[in-house]
Amino acid sequence: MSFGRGLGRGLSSAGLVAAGVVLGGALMFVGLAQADRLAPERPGVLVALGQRLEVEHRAVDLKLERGDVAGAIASLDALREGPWPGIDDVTEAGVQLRHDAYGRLIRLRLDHPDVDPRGVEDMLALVAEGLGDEEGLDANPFTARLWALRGELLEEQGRDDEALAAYEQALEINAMLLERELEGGE
Amino acid sequence: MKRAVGLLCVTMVVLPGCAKSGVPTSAMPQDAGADVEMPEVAAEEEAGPDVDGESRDFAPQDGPPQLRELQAEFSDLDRELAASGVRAPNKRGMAKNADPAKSGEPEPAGDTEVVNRVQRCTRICELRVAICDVSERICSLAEEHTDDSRYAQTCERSQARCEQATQACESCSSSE
Repeated sequence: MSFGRGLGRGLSSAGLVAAGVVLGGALMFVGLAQADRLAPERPGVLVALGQRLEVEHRAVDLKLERGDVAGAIASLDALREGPWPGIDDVTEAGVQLRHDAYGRLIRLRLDHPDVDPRGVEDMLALVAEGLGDEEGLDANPFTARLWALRGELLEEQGRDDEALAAYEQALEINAMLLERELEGGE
Repeated sequence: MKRAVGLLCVTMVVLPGCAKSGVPTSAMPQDAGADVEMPEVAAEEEAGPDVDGESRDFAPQDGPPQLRELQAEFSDLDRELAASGVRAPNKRGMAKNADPAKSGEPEPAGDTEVVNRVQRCTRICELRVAICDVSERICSLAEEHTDDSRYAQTCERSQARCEQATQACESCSSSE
């Protein structure tokens, strides 16, 4: 099975709007905190992180528009190198931002295996690094995407049982997000 | 569209909370090749810095030092995107030229409900794509493991989820 099948593209776009709400909500706490209405530990760090990602994403958009895939990957790789603040400093929203950055980087690498090639093991290590060790995160599309990417990579290695488990994780998260939308509907 | 709506989500949810502190916030994840649209706050920056060089109201007063640098970069990128023909949405997530007749007029109260419905439908349909794509992957694996019922069961379950998401997407799309 080759890299960069349609699934990844779908996953990379899926639920991104929902993520906007998630991150918007999280950042609202930052705003409230700076208005002295709430007091997260380091709200400025989360704001800076969110803005950095926004800038990087736009830079990557431009590079891709120009066909500079290597540059886009390099940008995301530089972003990946961090530093990434801990969950205590930036709340869960910061972790989701990390998942977003890693997810886009890995998606790009999978879609363009000839650009600065990396082995599947390296890519799996990248996924593990992105996912980190935070547990009990609220359902969000970024984490779901990383799990699906992990499934893709495991499948590439012929580790189908593990791939199935990873896909199930992605499916469950997205199904949970869907349930929430439907429950919140009219 | 999805990015515009997402940015709208962030803009509508975040800006009220940040209004007092004046922190610019926009955190929309992106997809390769996705349409790029900008929040009004960013578009306002296209006009360049204030003549007197002072920060605008939304500039951070006591944020981390790198914020100003990021904002400058942000503005440069916005200008580049605008030059590439990328549309800039207003605070309600609509393209500025979506309805020129309403330009500058106060938006009717009902607009927010409409926008919320559209946002929700967009989220549902995006989830449908994600769920059905994973389902496709799972069922593809199941075809290679016909001797293992776990694969078939998971495939069946994922297809049911995909069907549910598809119906939800079609339902909300048709009611818009």
